[in-house]
Amino acid sequence: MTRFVFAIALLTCAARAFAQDGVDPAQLSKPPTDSWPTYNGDYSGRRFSPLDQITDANVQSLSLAWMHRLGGAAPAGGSIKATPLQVNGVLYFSLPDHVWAVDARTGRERWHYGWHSKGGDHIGNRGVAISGELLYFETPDCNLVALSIKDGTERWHKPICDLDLYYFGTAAPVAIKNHVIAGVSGDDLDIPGYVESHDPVTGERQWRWYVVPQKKGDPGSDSWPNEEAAKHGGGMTWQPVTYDPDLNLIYVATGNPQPVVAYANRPGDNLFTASIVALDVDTGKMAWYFQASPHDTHDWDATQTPVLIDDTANGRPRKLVAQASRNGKFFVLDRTNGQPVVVSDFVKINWASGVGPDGRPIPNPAKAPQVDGALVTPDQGGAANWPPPSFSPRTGLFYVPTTQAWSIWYIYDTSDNPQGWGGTDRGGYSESMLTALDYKTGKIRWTHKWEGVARSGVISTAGNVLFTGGNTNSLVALNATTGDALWQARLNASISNGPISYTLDGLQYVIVGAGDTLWAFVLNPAPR
Amino acid sequence: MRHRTRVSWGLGIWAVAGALAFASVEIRGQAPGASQPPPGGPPQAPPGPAPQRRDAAPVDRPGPNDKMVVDPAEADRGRTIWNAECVSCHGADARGGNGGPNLVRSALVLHDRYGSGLGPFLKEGHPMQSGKPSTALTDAQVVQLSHFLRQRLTDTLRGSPLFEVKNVLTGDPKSGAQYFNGEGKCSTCHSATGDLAGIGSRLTPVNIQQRFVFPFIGGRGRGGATGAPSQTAITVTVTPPGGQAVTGVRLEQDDFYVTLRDATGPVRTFKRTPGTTVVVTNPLQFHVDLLERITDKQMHDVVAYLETLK
Repeated sequence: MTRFVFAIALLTCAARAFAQDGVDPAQLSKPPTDSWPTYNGDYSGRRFSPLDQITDANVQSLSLAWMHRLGGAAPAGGSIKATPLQVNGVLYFSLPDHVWAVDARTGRERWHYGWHSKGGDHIGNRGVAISGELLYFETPDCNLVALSIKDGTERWHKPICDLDLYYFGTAAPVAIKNHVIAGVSGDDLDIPGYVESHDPVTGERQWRWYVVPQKKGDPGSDSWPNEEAAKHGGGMTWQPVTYDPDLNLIYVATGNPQPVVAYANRPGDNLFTASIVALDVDTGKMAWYFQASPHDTHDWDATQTPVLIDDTANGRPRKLVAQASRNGKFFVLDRTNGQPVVVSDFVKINWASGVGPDGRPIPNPAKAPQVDGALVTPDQGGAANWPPPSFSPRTGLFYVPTTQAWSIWYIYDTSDNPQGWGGTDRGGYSESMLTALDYKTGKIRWTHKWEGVARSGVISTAGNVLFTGGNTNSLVALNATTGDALWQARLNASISNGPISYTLDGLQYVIVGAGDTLWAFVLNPAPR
Repeated sequence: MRHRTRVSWGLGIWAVAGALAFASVEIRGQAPGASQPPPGGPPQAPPGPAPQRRDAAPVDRPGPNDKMVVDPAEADRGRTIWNAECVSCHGADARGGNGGPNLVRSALVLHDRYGSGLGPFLKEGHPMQSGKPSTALTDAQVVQLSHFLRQRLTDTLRGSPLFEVKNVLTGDPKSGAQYFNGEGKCSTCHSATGDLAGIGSRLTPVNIQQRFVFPFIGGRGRGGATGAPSQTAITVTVTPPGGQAVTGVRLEQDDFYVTLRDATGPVRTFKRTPGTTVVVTNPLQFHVDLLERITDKQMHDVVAYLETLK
């Protein structure tokens, strides 16, 4: 009896310790309050905080709580593109080859981990995932690494791609049930994109789903001229997936086809590149797809966050997924089957002649890249890119960092079998803004224009506040309903990631990365 | 929100041209020159992963740190062998075609370092077009082939010598002149015998095209921001409530502050308090509006016309 009681007590302690130190993936299905436990805060991709201590009425009283400057510890030229995770009072974030844990109340460093790199493109790292007491991140040299969140010691690392084929790792993994979902990057050589799942404890690969057909007869094969073109057809998976626990589906946003710009050797739609794809999280089997850019020729991947929206229409609940895509199109789909509900433009575009009955844009061949140049909007950077958008259930608005840009697109490789890029764009002209879209109609409710270049992630909150980056190295608070500017703080560099928010000790924090520095803001004086 | 005209918000181009170049680097896949091989000889392979090291040494280039570095002279020797033994099946650029696979996409070639993979493969025996056995190739010849193949690969990368605009002189000069003097209204501000005299001698055709479509930034594209602006600079007039209007070159503007350099030289910053009016003037607004109007044919015709102004 005594031993039984002891065992129960032990189990209770263990459960409590687990809850205190780690992340239970089940908690990631609801909006975060005292934590920010996954890339988008929760699995929906909304980046909506239900916290309302900071409001449109008191945001002018935000003041600095702390800053954590990496300085010489950061890789040369590196900036914090990662969205930090906050778990039990500790923030975890990454730069290429580096992970830091800092105190979420004070900004004091807890630990720092460095990976000795064998190479790869160090363009950026979007962040980490946490499941239980393990943290996961990708390295530029193609490894998925697991660390203890307690002290940053390495538990295992597993290869996820082939460095010799010019793949590299940038994506933030996402922990779902007993899976760690990892995407891959690489856009120099003609290589296939894929997303794969690893066991959180052992690191063993559970499944891999290729974005493009790997042999004749695979789904999507008839959208390629031959097997050679298909299996080298690109489609990188740069963006963290979103997840619907009820449907057990992850939503994967896929990259552009290869060769990127010169397209003579890949006529066809080039499935499943530049698409939103729903996969069973346990098996990696595809449930449906929707292609945002059929036969893309402008580097317009569709790797912008697929944001899950729940509402009711005609008295019946609806499950939607929305994406403001790099090509300037806003798509709202039924996320049970991929059928389009709303398709609109959130910038002026000149590359499509219309939208087909299936909701897919119809590219205008004259606006594909040309040897002598075609003047096109958007430019290569796109109308939207990786900086994360936000959806507020409170306002019903989808907020997306937006660029209206023009450039001239050239084909350099005029052969009938181009490789790699085979051309690019030169430009240009650009205007930056934050766009608020009504997801029910696809119409623009308002735009907040920046007087220069700005492209930062967004968070919206229940306090009717939206935080993002402006054009003068500023963290800016906007009224989430009207878009009016309410407050700003000029930082050391432009906002380089998506802001997050959480409550600790009854105080709502806003955390943002700018260059090599993490900044924390709270209300001062603290509300009583 | 505050309503502003298009002129007033869109055009911090001079001020932000450098930032634009930076932003384009921030966007994935656009790191200019990232595909250039490192100078010097083959780098030494670094040691394997060393957990807990804080001195991680990233190399901001695609591919592994120990990737092969092409010796052009060796590649030239390799080309001779290639033309004698391989070209008929694998093609001049090694992209396959006549029965042979594309070797630029070959995992064996991509894993190869100075013949480390190619050598064992050819030692196993592989048909060659002369009829000689591939085992007859010397180790030195295998290395030369390896350099040739790696050079074909690097030629496909952004930043390679082949990664350049080809012919943009496809327009009709007569139609271009008509557009210049008519519908395009270019002659309102420009003259073939004035500011544009000799432009066909001064600029390459592609630079003519880029500069006339995008006069907002100098040179070729994003990286080419020039120095201080002059008559094309965006100006701003700020009028505080009940105060004097001040006009100057706009240095910076956001929702809360405007900074300008006025005609007498000093830099002044104004807080945008309620009642403060801010009016922005962009001398290049015509060119901004042109982006939506001009067709690709008109663009190429104008380039062909300007090219004749020697």
